[in-house]
Amino acid sequence: SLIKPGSKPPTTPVKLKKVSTFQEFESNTSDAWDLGDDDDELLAIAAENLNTDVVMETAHKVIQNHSKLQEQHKFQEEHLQEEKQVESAELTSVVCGDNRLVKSVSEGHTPSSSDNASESSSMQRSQSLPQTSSPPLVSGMADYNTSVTPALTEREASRLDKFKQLLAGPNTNLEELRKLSWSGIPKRIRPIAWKLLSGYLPANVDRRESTLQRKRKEYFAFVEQYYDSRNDENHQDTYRQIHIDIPRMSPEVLRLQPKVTEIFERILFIWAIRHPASGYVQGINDLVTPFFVVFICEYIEEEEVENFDVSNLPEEVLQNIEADSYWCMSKLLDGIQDNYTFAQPGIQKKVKMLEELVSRIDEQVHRHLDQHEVKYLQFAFRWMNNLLMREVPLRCTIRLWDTYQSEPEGFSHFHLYVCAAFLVKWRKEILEEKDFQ
Amino acid sequence: SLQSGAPPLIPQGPSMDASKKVDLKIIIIGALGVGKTSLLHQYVHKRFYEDYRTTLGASILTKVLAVDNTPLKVQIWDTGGQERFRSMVSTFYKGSDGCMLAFDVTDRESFEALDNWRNDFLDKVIPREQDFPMVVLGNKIDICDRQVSKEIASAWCKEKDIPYFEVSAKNNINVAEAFETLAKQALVTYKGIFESYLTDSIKLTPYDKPKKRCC
Repeated sequence: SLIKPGSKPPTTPVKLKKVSTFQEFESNTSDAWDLGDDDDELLAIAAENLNTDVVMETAHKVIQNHSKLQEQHKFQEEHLQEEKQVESAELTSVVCGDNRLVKSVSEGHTPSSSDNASESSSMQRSQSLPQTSSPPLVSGMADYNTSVTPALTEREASRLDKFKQLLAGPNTNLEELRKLSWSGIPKRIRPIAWKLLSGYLPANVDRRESTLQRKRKEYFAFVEQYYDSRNDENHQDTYRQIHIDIPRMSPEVLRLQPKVTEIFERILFIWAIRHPASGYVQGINDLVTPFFVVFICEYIEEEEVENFDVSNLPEEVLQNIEADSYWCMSKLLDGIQDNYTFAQPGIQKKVKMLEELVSRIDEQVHRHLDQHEVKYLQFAFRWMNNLLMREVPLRCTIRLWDTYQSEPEGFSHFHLYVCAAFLVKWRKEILEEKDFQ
Repeated sequence: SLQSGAPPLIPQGPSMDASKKVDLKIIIIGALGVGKTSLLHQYVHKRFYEDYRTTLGASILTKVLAVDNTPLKVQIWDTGGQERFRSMVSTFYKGSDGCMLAFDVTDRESFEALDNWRNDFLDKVIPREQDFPMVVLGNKIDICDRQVSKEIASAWCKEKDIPYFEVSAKNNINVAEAFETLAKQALVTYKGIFESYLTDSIKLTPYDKPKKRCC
């Protein structure tokens, strides 16, 4: 009856120093909170001692486990490597026996089998150096094997946790999200993080679902309202341009699937109609892709994107992806609209700023370009016009946009510095180049 | 008296000086999607890419060709055809020695836009010369669905005294001929400048009586 309701019966006090695991500690001290206020200080000191011990021990265990795992992994890999080498040795013996047979074997693995010269040279290499180097096709297979295991590194796992924690609350702290996202967003988090960072989704969790519903409805109301006008006299040019351009976009996406083409056409046409000051300008089409791919990856594995048939997705899912892509792209373009208005003043200005910046940070490169009559506008126009998307692979663009969206003016201001960094990064090659034709 | 050696200065235009990087600068312009990039790649790389991308801004290709036994390094500027790019693209007109106007025979609007492209170009090339080296290319003759007949296109070109070529980048029809005609024309124009310079020099010598007086 002296025991407070909800608390556990007191247990025999133990000497805290003997406690070695957290579980033991927990079970042995679950009554701690029932002690009187007077004991608080004592308890705190004890807990501190204990914490250090437990922490050290746990840390030790983690390290041990980790190195054990590492060794296992290493062993497995070595083992795998050995197996491969045995295989390659076998292959080699086959090579010696019958050339034709091996050719058919290698054809099974190399994408281009027409290149006989390189094939025979790789075979020669494997014949002459069977121990020291495994033939290319085998090492390629080993690469493939390691790349399919999607194990997260510790760092990745801890980052994922941080993101999860941040997103778990009822109100997402956008400032924190920006800080965290700056150095890259884990794949699984990216769709929601991008929607939050772009300002499309509200920070308040309770408002998100209704916002999404409202915005998606709004987008399809635009489609309803405007899309039929694509063949009207005053809009047909816009539609025609978009229609011509979609097959001419960066080749990495699912763009040639009729369903995807339709989605892109709608997104771009609606955006163009609603932004008459710029309208549709080539380059804008590329900017839909990262959003579309990131949002579709919520439903499929990233590795599948290249070969995925979008018609396998439910119609409703596709519609949501379409509307979300539209709104996020709109938010992006709001920040760089002067890139696409008459005479493209945003681009002109940024190219000038780039020139001025490079002349300060790398005078040698600047002078070299000048001496060889290379105008910044010649190469940097495209860099600005579609945000380096022609220059780097899509996955790099997506990663870059994690950072752009974490910066206050990422797509305009920060992008300028990325372009400058690009030039500085390749300075050696630029300075060695004497013929820029 | 006339001294041996090259004249010290040549007013604008190409030089045959080997140290110079480029002998001729040619620019290709025209509406979007008419096949400017494909024409260029067919000419320079002898290839047709089904999988091509929109040209954003401008890009440059070079080719060395022999015109009347003179090796010429020709720098060809490919340009984006979209209207919005025009103010940017037109900054690259400067210094051109020849201009290639391209349209798509299956796209009437691209033909109707030729006037605009031509005027825009001539406005920005100083001094404005009506007989600036130019050729017109009607591309995609491999496609049956024509919207611009050969007669109509030829008539437009004849009126402006511009050579017309019906071409196909895909099937490599007439592409090299068009480029080489333009290069030749540009060279003639250059030589004209060169010779008029020589004539001017000679005019100054006491042994040569002036043909024309100019003020």
